[in-house]
Amino acid sequence: MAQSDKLVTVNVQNESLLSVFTTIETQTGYKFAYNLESVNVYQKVTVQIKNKDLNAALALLFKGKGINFTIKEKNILLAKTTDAKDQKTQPEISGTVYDNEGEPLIAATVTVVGSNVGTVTDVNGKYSITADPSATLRFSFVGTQTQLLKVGNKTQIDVRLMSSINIDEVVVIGYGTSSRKGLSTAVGSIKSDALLARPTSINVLQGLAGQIAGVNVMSNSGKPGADAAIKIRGTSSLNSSNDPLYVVDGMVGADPLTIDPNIVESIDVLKDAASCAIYGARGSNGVIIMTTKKGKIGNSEVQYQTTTSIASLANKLDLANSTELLEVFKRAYEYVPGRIAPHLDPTMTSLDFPRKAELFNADGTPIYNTDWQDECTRTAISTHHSLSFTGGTKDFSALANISYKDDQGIMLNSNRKQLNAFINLDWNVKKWLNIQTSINAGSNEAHGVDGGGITLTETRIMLEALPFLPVKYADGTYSRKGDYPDTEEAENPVKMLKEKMNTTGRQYALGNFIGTIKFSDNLKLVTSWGAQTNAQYYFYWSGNDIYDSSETQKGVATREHWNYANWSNEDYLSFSKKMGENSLDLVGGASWYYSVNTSTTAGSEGYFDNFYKYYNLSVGTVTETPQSSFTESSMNSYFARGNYNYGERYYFGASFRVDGSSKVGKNNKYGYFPSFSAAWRPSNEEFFSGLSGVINNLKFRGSYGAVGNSEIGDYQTLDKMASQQTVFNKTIVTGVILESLKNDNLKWERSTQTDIGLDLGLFNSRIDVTFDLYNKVTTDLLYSKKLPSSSGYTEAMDNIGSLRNQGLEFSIRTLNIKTSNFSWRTSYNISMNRSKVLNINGDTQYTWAGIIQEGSPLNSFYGYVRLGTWGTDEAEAAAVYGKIPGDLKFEDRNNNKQKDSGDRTIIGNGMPKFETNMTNYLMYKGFTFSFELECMYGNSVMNYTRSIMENRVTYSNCYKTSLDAWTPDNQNTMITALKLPLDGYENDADTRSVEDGSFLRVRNISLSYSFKKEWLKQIKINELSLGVNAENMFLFTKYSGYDPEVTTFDASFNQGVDMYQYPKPKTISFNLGLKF
Amino acid sequence: MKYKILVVLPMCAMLFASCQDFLQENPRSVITTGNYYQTQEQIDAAVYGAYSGLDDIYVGAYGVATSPLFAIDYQTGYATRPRDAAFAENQFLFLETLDPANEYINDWWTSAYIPIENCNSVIANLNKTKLLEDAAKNRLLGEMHFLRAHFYFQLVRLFGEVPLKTAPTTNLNEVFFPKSSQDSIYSQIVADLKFAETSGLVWEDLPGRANLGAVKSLLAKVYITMAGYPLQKGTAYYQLAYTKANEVIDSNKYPLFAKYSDLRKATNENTKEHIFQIQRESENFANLLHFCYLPYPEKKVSIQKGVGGAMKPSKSFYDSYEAGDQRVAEKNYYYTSSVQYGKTTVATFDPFIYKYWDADAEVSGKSGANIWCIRSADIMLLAAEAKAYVDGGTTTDTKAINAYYLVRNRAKPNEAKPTSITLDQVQKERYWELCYEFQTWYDMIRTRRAFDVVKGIMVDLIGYTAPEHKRAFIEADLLFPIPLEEQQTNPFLAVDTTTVN
Repeated sequence: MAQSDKLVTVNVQNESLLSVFTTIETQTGYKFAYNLESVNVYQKVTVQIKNKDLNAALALLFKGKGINFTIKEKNILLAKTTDAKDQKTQPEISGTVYDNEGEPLIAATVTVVGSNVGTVTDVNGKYSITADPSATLRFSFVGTQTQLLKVGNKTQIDVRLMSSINIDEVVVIGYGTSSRKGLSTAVGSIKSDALLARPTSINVLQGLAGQIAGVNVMSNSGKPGADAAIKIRGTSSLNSSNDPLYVVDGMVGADPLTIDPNIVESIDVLKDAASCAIYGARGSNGVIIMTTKKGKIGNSEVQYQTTTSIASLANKLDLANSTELLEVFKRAYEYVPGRIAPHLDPTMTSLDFPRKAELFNADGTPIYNTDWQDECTRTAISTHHSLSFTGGTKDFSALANISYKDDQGIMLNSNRKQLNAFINLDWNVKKWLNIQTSINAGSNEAHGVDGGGITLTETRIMLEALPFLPVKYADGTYSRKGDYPDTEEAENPVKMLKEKMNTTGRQYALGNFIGTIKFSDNLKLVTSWGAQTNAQYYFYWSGNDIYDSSETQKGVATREHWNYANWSNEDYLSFSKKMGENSLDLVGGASWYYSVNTSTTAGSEGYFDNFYKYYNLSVGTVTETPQSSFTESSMNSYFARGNYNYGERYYFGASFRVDGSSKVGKNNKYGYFPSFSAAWRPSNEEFFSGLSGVINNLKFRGSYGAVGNSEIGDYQTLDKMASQQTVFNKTIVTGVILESLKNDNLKWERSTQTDIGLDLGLFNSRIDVTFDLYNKVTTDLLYSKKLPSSSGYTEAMDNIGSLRNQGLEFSIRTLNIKTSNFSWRTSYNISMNRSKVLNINGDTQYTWAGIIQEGSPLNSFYGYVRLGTWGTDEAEAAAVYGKIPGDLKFEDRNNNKQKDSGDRTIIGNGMPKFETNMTNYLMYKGFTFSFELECMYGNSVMNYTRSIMENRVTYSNCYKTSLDAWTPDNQNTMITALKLPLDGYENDADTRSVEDGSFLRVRNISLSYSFKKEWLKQIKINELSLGVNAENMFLFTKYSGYDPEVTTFDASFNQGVDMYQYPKPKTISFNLGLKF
Repeated sequence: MKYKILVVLPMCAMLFASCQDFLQENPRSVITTGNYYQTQEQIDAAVYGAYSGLDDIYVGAYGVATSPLFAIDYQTGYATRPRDAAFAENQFLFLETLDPANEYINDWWTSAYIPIENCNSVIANLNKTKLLEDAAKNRLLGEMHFLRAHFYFQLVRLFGEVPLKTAPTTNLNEVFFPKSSQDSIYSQIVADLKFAETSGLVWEDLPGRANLGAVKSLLAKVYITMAGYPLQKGTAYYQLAYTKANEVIDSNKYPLFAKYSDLRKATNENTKEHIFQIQRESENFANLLHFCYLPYPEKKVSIQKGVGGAMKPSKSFYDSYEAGDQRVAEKNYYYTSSVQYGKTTVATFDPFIYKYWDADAEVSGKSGANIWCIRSADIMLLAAEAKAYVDGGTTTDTKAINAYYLVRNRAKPNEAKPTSITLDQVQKERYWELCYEFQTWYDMIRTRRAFDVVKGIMVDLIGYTAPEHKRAFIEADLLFPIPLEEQQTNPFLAVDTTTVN
């Protein structure tokens, strides 16, 4: 034992051991090393030491405290006092504890399970301890996985403690954090690198896609900046919101679309009721907690990242070309004997068909063959830049980020630009006071195209435009579909893309302040204030020569502005204490939330010139009625949570939240949401020690809880009167009409959820598995109940009915190969969700192509069953239905000899039976190669795009499959005889329109190289990496549209309805990252 | 350490805020019923709101040239739809058995009941208010009773027995009302109109608001309907109808226009022959008829292309007019050719309806022409028909003949005034005169007779196959079924329920 020549003087009364250590370290230059689990450094001591040498001082200090000390080099190693009696009778075991890199671990704790005997390793990682051959040794160290080993007849035991990949990570759980191993609830997490793995992700939702089991993110449009639709464990509400709750750095209700993925450190998704219940009020759709990046203590660093990507149309639809389409026209006209298609009809005069000579040769063959998909799309080049500055000292750290994104869409002229700035400061103002404050602000603007839908939008006419028309005639004028007689008139899509303007944008700011006051080591008060403001706008311009949009109005310009702002305040006390094997965490507090929404719309028509667009509404001669609105809402909540564990083996948690909302009826303002959870970790039990080499972590979890939802819009419970203008003798007056019945008793929608889960770590967590089963029942649905209109009202909001979502989630992370140069990691997840409407008052609700009814799942498609076409030998049977051979034949399900609503049935479902994702990372020296697969199975797509184009041939272009239409020689077909729309057509949703949407997508392939740090040091660069990514490069599906991951409408109830949706790109991007 | 309190207190200031007030809703952009009826202006606005329900069935459109409105002319079998039709329309066009799930049936139902609730609410509040003098209050009450009668008349004719409700709904738990007998519904309609008749309304009132002529005209229509099917109150009610119609005719406030083109002249709106019109305005309250009735396939005879084809007359109906009838002369009620918009070329086509051609809309692309609701020609022919019924099928009554001849003379200027007229003559005249004004169906079900356009005679409705229908009328076709949504939401209206009186 080396003798210190430094003298020690300590004179303290009732202060913690820790503070005495600090004094001694300062005086001697020696460092204490100990394990918190074996040495209680927070215990209070009263001691007087004057000018003693170190050994003597320590002996005095630890006298009667049960702490042994050893001085090795400049370290003072502490351990629990071992029992002297046992030492004599038991053999001594010694060995070395290493970390997973093979370096000795200093101050790792070694204890004999079930006794007070223990020690810590020295600076060489060595230990010695006495233990019976029947005893089990526990080796533990912060940040590694604990190991249990039987002594047996060994006297030398060396141990390698693997750093924990998974189980010891910190998880943000709302009003606090937890280690993953301490969780008794279902929480999924991803870190920044995974969120940024796909460089084209513009917002955090896109980054989340496929990363967490049970979190379904559908990218339903290829439009730049298009919102992704997110569902956590299914859709749980019919009339209230189905969006999860977003929490950014503790600020509840943040808008996720304003959060740049670059500033996010981690995302934790609370999935089960017990984890969400602390946000009870709004937790029924799950909670997504984002934690932003903070400054790092140490040297200041600058990081720059840039991406340039090249996108093009991922795949093209198989549409008819000029020759094929003219064959369709010819046959459709000849459906009625003697009728001749206009391009073949010699009697057609130039008055009836003015462009005929420009379009057709004398023999009726086409001059042009335009591929409108090529004409309307382009190769789009986008760039992203992100610049970060970080640094800090012990008491102050800062991070600033500025990013710029210029995303070009693959449809002509569509784009989105965003500038974002973020700063995050962390400051220990006093020993007892920490403040953290962040500001995120920016703006974005997208010039889009009209989304899909039934109107004659750019994306629709791109497909429907006739290939035998040129984009422009020789005289420079744009063609129009109606240039061919008796087709449906529509504007030229290229002209619309170039000349119409649909602009959406927003300017936003989010500020957050969190103050933490430490009353003692166990007790702290946290108070946070957050505010955000969002100014959003939509501007529309369609010039005075755009057919069908604005030609008759001589130009239409509209400007809509919305502004929503909110503030929130959360105050809570948190208490945590460890006593031996007992550990307790308590949180209790209150929160207030206020939000206000306003909007203003103005517009005018009648523009003498197209110069002004939407920039000067006063130019228009006709004023559209201006509109405005104002709504506000507030919430007030009280919450408490307790978590207790015994010996990291038995975990119990409970929470309770009381929420008040302005949106519910005045008799039921407050809702009450309790939750309970428990877990058991047999892997920490003594009896498990023999298995610890194989199973290093095993945990069974169970939770049950209730969460609420009241996101129904403001003033839904009041007896409102609506203003309604009316007119007398051309003079407009304003009247009022009854709008809604009041419902003072309207209360919170309630979801109760049971979750059973399992966490398993094998082979030192080289394999990590998480499995969850859940049953989620929403009751007291905030439901827009149908009323008989003879009551004077057609609906009223009431608490009626229930829905159920059941499912399972499985995820696995493996480290398949690990050598010094090469490693291969895989992460895989699969999830299934089954929904069922249990009770909705016997009502039937129709969605786009679908139905919501009791006993059926949500997102059910509803329609007729197409059997095929009537054959020539079935003329008599067809006549019963008023049909002739060649007409469509449908199943007469109610057998009443007519096609009516009773023949409809459920014909598909828009949500997958299961979805699964797999990502592989292969690393060799500085190279990282990864590929990500996305698969959905069993989902249907209602392909309205094809069915409209197939059923109304000659109004528009059609799929090539239309050539397979019924003829007397081709009777075994699903496609009706080619005929003109005025010969009659049936365009109802049916089994032909529903297609199998199962798919396998190679979502992302990436290769990157990080340069060796030794090389970079010479040019004073810390890190430099280059990479290339290919996104959405391969898609395997039977679906005939652009992409089966699609919907044109609200995804909560209309997932998988494809009506001329903006197509998706495939993208190649090049990335550069630099740190210095 | 004691300074901590200085930091803690302001941080947690919200803890002391009052919670109950914090959660109170105080809407600023919408008003609630409890805060209403405080001023005369608020009363006026509620009255205007009740009127705004009049157009509900006329503006509902689902797509191109598609509206539930057309259903009751499709149902007659004298009209066809050149544009492609959906299943819901085909049921009417071909006289298929109406499916209660057909959404157009629900539209006809709802477009009456929602406005009725506004009437009920205004009536209840007017009865309570002390803001108005009795005279002014009574006049407003008269207008509201007229409107309520109008909507119930629509319901009882189309659906038969329906719930009769004359007080506003105030409680979410009291929203189910049983069917009432047709007798009691007609009694309420008559009571409402009689109230309106004596409420102080004058012949000429603000255009578009209920005036005495409109009230009496509607009452005449109610009486003649009660006299016929289904109540069959007979001669006494034909006499009542005759008397009431004559009060309108004798007022001399509502003379016929000299020419058919005058009917659609913008300057003639709300005057003379137009006893009551539903008010339109081109920018914000468009009339869809001009564009919906354009020839189809498109001939582009008006500025907007791609919207026509909602309805055209059956060729045999068009051919049923007598030679020389002015109504069938080009561009009176119908047209078969027109100069194409912006060109000099002339397009020709099968006969299309020209009744509602709007000369302004042709160039502006927006039609603000009023919708015809009650016009004198209807009331004149009604008087003649009622008297013919009273007199056993033929009448020599001078007033009846005069009324008939006023209408007939405009169509056939060279024809001498008859000395007697038959029921069949008058009823045929009603078909020719009032076609495609959403009136013919009501005539067919109240008389149970149809105009056999091929033979040119009046026949029994039951057993007659109208030109566009696939089969003959049966009794079950005469009422719309109660809409499925209503059956599903109101336990009293589920099939097989009893009627209360």
